[in-house]
Amino acid sequence: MRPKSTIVFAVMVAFYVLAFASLASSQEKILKFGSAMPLSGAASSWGINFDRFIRKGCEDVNEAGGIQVGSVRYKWQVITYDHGYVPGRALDVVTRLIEGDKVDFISVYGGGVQSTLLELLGKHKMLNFAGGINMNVGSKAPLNFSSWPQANYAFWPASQVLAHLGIKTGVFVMADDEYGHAHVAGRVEQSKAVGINSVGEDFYPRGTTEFYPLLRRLLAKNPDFFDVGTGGIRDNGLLIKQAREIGFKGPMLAYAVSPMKLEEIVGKELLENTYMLSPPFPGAPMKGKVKAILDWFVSKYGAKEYDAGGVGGHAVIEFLTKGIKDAQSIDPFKVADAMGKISKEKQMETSYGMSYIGNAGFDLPRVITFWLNVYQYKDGTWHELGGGWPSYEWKK
Amino acid sequence: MMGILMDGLFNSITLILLSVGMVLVIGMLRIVNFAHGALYMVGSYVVWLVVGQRLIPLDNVYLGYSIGFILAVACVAGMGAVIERLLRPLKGGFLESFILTLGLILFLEGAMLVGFGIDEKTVPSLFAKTVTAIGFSLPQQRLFVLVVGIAIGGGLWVFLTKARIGIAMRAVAQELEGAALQGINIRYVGMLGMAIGCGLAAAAGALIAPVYTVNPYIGTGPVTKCFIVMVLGGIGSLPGAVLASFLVGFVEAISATFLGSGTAKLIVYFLLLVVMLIRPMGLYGGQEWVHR
Repeated sequence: MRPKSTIVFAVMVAFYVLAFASLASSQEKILKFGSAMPLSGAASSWGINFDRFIRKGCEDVNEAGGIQVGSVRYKWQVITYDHGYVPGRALDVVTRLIEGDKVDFISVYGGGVQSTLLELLGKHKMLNFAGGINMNVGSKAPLNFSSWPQANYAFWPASQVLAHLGIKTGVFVMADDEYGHAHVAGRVEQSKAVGINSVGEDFYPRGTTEFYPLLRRLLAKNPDFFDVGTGGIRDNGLLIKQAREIGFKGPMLAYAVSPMKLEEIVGKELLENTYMLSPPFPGAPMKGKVKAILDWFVSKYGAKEYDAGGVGGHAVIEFLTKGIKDAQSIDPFKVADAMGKISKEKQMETSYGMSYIGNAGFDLPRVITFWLNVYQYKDGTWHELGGGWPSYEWKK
Repeated sequence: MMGILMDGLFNSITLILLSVGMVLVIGMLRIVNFAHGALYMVGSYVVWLVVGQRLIPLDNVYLGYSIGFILAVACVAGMGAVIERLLRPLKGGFLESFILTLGLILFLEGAMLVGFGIDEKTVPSLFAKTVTAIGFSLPQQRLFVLVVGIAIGGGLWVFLTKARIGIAMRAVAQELEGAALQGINIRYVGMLGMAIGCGLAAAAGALIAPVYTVNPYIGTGPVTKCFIVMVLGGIGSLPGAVLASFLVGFVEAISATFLGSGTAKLIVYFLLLVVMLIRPMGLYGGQEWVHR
């Protein structure tokens, strides 16, 4: 072979080798994320927001270049269906996501629909990073995660404030479903640990707007404080408003709802002496990722549509992405294991602020845990009193 | 106890406005308007737009609310007239009217969701104070609902018993062909009845809007109770609807207070079952549509 053709041949071989190598190193795949949300019905505001934040989280990851796992670069793709917070429909849409769309990971929103899905999720070894899961249900499935701290786990910062106020008795209400009952049981248990006795507990069907009968029954027991539960902005707002109309003047505790919307529903005067347990909300002092994500939301959708639970959608993607990167795998068990290692000592900054995956009192770390603040509405404005990590300290 | 009875009265008045409206529609068109709850919801939204969003910028909240109320009733009554034109060719076909009105529900709920967003809407209360008397306290806003609701009910009664067109509506409800033979324009009367029925739904929605919150799904609960009331009172019977509304309103208030909301619902359904077993046509079923 002549020297010139040897050189040409070598250059061509080198060219093809380099081309093939670059092709292999930039191999891109889609990572499908199934989002089963209540997009219609009374719970739609939660589902719509959670889905918005999931999509934003996926966009942010994709724009940053995706997730590199070995020689493969993954980009998120979100597929969303509506289950309307009906367990039967949730089963249908999750089946469709898993068996039809072949999603790699899933988030099912709604504590009240989770237990119907355990068998299906277990059968397909699907990692479910749920919104609002009751971990009494979730702990039965090792691949179940929760985007929210559990009821009594999260109550710790608020319980300190209540104990400081000299509260001795309280009443607790929640929506009448599996999640609601677990919520109240957890709150009652933890309240007792800090010296607050429950003198009444009650549950209402989801969609209730007329709370006078329930309130008359509970307030007849003369509690020192009233826990309105995590039923969402409408439930929180109407419970507080109607309790004040009936004549209750003691402290009332709301959870992670839009404070501007709460003020609108209840009215400034009736909202006095209301406390709220929440991560930072639009208008409150904040910085870093929390500020960035809330500024994005407010600019796109407005502050009135904000709810703290929705932000969990973004945090879910942040933790999942980290888990996949750390595990260098998309195997759900490896990812779950990697996420479980994001402990308090290794906490990371997310859209909730500094967060980690806590065990919330169960065997495995499966719950996004973040700092919660306690706010008090006094003299027409919200004041931050302090905060804390959700904790099981009281069990010691 | 007085407080509980006032709760019952409050429940009943709003239920009366809704169920009477639905009975009017059944009487005129011989079909059930499943979108009745959605029209109630639209009434709430109109008031929210006028008062809450200051679509008509007025400093006087009472004037603003009055205009909002009238607009809500007028708009939804107009929608009712349009719906009647759509339903008329179906000639009382149950399945067809069910599908049409179900589609209307989905359309209206979706339109509100897309048009105005997912957050709960609020209409400012007209009255901030509470009335305290004879051992109970009631917010003035709720008292306002009671007074206006009773006034509307009374006005409707006068209209149906004294006004020529009201009497014509009763004739159509009682016997369609006979009314036509008497020279009554049944198409016009039918359209008017539908408009009034839908207007009553809007009135209920407009009255309730400052008491609770407004979202696209607020019509589902009330319309379900409406069906219970209609069956309980006798389908197509106005006195039956009024009586059953009081029965359901008070039973629910009393049982919810002492036994819980979930149990209260069970009791209402049990009551329905008992009445159906004893008197399948309903409490007033088979009677004249409006007694003289």
